[in-house]
Amino acid sequence: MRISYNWLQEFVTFDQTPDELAALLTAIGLEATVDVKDYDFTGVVVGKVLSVTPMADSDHLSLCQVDQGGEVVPVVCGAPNVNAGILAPIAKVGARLPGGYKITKTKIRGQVSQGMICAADELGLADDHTGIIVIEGQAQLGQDFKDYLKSTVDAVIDLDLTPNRGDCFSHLGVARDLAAKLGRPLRLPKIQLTEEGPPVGQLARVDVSAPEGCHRYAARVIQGVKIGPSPDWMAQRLISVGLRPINNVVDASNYVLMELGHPLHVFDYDRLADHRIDVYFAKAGQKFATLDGEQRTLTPEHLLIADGAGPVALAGIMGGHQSEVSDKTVNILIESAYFDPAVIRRGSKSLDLSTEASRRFERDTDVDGLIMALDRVAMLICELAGGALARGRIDVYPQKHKHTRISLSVKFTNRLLGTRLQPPQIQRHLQRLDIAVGSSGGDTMECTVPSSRPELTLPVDLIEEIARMEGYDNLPTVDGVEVSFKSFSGDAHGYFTTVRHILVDWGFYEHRGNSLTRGEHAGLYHEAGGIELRNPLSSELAFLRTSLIPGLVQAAGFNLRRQQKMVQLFEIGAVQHSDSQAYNRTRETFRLGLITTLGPGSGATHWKNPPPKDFYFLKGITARLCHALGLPELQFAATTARNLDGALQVTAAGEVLGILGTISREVQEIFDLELPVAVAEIDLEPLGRLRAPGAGLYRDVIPYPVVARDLAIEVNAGEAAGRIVATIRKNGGKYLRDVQIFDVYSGRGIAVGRKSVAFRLHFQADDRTLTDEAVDRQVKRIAGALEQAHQAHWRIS
Amino acid sequence: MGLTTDIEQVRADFAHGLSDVQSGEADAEQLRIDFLGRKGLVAGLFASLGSLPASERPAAGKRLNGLKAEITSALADLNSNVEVNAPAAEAELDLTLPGDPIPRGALHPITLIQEQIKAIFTRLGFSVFYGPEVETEYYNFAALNFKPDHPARDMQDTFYIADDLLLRTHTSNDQIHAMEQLDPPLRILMPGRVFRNEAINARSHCQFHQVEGLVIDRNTSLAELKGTMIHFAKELYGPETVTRFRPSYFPFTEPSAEMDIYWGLETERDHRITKGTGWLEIMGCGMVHPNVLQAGGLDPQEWTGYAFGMGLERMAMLKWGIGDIRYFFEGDLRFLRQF
Repeated sequence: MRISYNWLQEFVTFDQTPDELAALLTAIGLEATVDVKDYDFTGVVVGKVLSVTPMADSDHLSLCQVDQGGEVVPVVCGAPNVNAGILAPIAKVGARLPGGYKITKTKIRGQVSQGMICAADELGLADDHTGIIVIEGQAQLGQDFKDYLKSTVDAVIDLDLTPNRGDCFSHLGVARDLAAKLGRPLRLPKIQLTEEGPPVGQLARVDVSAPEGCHRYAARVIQGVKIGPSPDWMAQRLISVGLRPINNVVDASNYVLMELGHPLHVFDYDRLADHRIDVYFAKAGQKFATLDGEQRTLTPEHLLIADGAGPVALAGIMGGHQSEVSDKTVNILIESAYFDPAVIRRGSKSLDLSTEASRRFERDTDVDGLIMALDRVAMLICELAGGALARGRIDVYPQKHKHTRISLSVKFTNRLLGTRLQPPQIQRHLQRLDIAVGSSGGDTMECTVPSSRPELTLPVDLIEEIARMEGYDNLPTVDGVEVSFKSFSGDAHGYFTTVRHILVDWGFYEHRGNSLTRGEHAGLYHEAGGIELRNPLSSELAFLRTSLIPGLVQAAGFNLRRQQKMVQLFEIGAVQHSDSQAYNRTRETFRLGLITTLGPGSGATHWKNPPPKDFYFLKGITARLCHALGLPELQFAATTARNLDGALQVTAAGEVLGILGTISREVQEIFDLELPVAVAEIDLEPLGRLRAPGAGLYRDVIPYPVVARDLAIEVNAGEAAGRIVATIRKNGGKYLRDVQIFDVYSGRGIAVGRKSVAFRLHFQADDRTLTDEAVDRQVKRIAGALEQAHQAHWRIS
Repeated sequence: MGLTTDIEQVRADFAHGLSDVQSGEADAEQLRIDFLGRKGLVAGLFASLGSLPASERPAAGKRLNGLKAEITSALADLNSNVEVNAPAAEAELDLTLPGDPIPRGALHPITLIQEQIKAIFTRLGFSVFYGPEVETEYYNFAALNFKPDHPARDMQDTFYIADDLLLRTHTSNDQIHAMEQLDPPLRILMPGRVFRNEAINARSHCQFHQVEGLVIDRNTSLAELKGTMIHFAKELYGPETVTRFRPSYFPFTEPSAEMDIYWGLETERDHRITKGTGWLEIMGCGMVHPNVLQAGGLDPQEWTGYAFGMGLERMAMLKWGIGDIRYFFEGDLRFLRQF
């Protein structure tokens, strides 16, 4: 909504500059910014013409002495309206004007001219070149002309209105709030009508067949109007608030729309069949051609204005072509009606058609104020286009609007605001907003809300009005709060922070991927696919993700294609799956996703070679993370998983935590990855439940030495190391503390189809030093068990 | 039996070499390379193991291992002597070579902001609560006093899954869940991801993050809301931060307010982001609407409350001068490494 600074002054007197006005409006809840015009010139100041001497050898040029603020210079000027004593914009030598034009010292007909007195077109302000600009307001000699323009030329204020302030979609509405805030009187536009025509009832008839959609329909008829252009003052005002002048009749209704906020519609009376109006809902499939040239198909939720033959307008949204006012129009019928906000909104939404009228109706309009709008536009049209106004108005108003009454408790008001306002203060604020305050019995005030503020329905709405009038910044502020221990409920995701910090410490960057994805991607790591949106932005963002893996792979690809070859990312985020049992038919789980490119280890230099990063790196990270969180020892079991090679299922204490593996060739190709990547995805819910940081009791440090033995065995190449370790543990006796694999080897010296695996075994008793013999005996027992269980041959120990 | 001879020959050669090193006529490292190096004499002997009949291999292997152990141990002794006798070859270490490049990771900027906000409010006694991203029409709109067919719904373009199911457009849905699940008094913070059906460009995205706050008690007031918000702004933006409150509109609060901070007008960017006013909108807030308290099962006569909400991407963009919201969700390491 655009508001003209000067126009607003018609309704309330204020001294604020445009910037101050914008700040004040913002402070009362009408977010306002001054629409800053960029002037395309520099070096133009306010100057005073001291003398004008016609030049002898010219019929129109004069030599002027111009004071441009302390310095008097000669300027040659050809404008007919240049006179001694006037103030005017002077482009000084060195000034730049629109189009890159530069003012220099010149000679015209032998006279030195040091500058130019400017016309509106020369400064790019308007097309006018009939004369120079004569400054009539208060201006300081030598002042930058741009500053002068900003301070006096009509400023336009842009209002970003919240949906509850439909009443401020007009100059009068804004002025009403401003007047209340300033404590100044509001000036309503004067309306004087001369009704020279026949009684309106003889000319037209209105019925409202759908009173649930149209609560009130008022109309006037004017005969014998002369369609023509609007006068300049009206055209300029419409342009200033962003409307295009069309003709005097249409412009008058738009003018009143911007002035009073009530949408009006003007019909060509002679094109209304039977000169009658009815209001009813459309039939399903009914067609109607709106003014914008569109043929629209309607449903029973669209309200229509019809004449004796059929629809002539989409009520409250847009008129029709056939009854439109044209150059040939002579007689007109003016509609000023109240339409139900929800009906207009549904109609406008379903047709995707939003207009100045529908925007106001759907925010609710003033059912009583529409009469003033009707009379005001009738008066303006008679002034601008002539014609005889029919006597009286048609006013179909089946159910009269009842003013909302609200009982307001002073105590509750002060409790909610934290104030100590006295009843008279509250009363004054409300009354300035036209809210009538009746006899107050004790703590309660009986308030009556004007029809211009239909959204005020509850005590809290009035409390906000009081707060607005007090000024939010003037209301008290506490400097401390009381906290009840009962309000403490912790943070169920608090351990996510721990997980994040651990991974960052290990060189992972946190990613936050898109929750929305393609259907094909949602199906890559989850068979059932994802939950689909009904109105997606695009097919690429049509499904909720079912796994974090595709997003991480995509991010890895993004980086690899940008010369970032070492990618280690993690993400903590929600994934969604259908679940008919849940109230929102969705099972939402927070997961941890990890991804790493495979290849050279981090920090590889020519003088040092860290181990390369492969799948085991991610396995180690997973185990280490869970260990850091205090989870029971992880179990990794080979499994088959969609689009993962070498997949392992991760469990702890019998609960499945997640999966890890290397992405398949197909997925690598889908995401255009030049390198293989390993991924892991862990469900954070069991992780959170099983974690027990710092759990368990302290154990005494054992003072007896650890006895280490290396055991190298040869087994079939397919034998899983994890299973051998399990056998060792099972047969290790009570003193075996730890088993580590330190070498896996096949090739030279090892028979084909076999491999060598070397273990380091740690033995320790907590009450004595173990003898070598006892340890050797245990190692033999282990070796024997390995031979039994894994056809292992003991190599060199 | 050629291998046995060879083993003995190597053993003898090593003894010679060792005495040369001890007398200073040869280099210990060279000796190690000659005998134990990858292409050294011992390796050569191991390589020839394969040519032996399988039955002889174990015995030969054992002898060869013995030889290797002898040489290894002799060289180790030599080294320890060398270290004692000659005070190190430190001069050969180039200490200017860089230290090991320890890999660096980083938290996402949204996480950083979120953690900062959580820390400020948990110091004020707030707990943290989480609600779902897929939500019913009831929790996202109706329970929050959004009337059907009201223009307030235009404030939040919505992704629908079904008629009554959608992606939440704000974290305010959590207010109702919290009131249903927890007993008042409440002091909770509700961070989460939200969705709007808006075209993706530098300034807007179809997903972003919010942190919502809710306080319900018997005597909360707008004065407490203001005090709490001012404290928060000073904690986050510094003790000199200047704030202002102005009326606004949210269906679920009444009175509703917007808190701005004074950002300044020093640079071109300041003018652009504050629309020339110097003020920057930081968060929406207000007193919980009685209809919302009722939807949460609380009596508006007994309980009052306040709520507030802020958008994290916007705050992060301001804090770090990030010009394009899409950076947050691309996973670009060149972006993530800067935090």
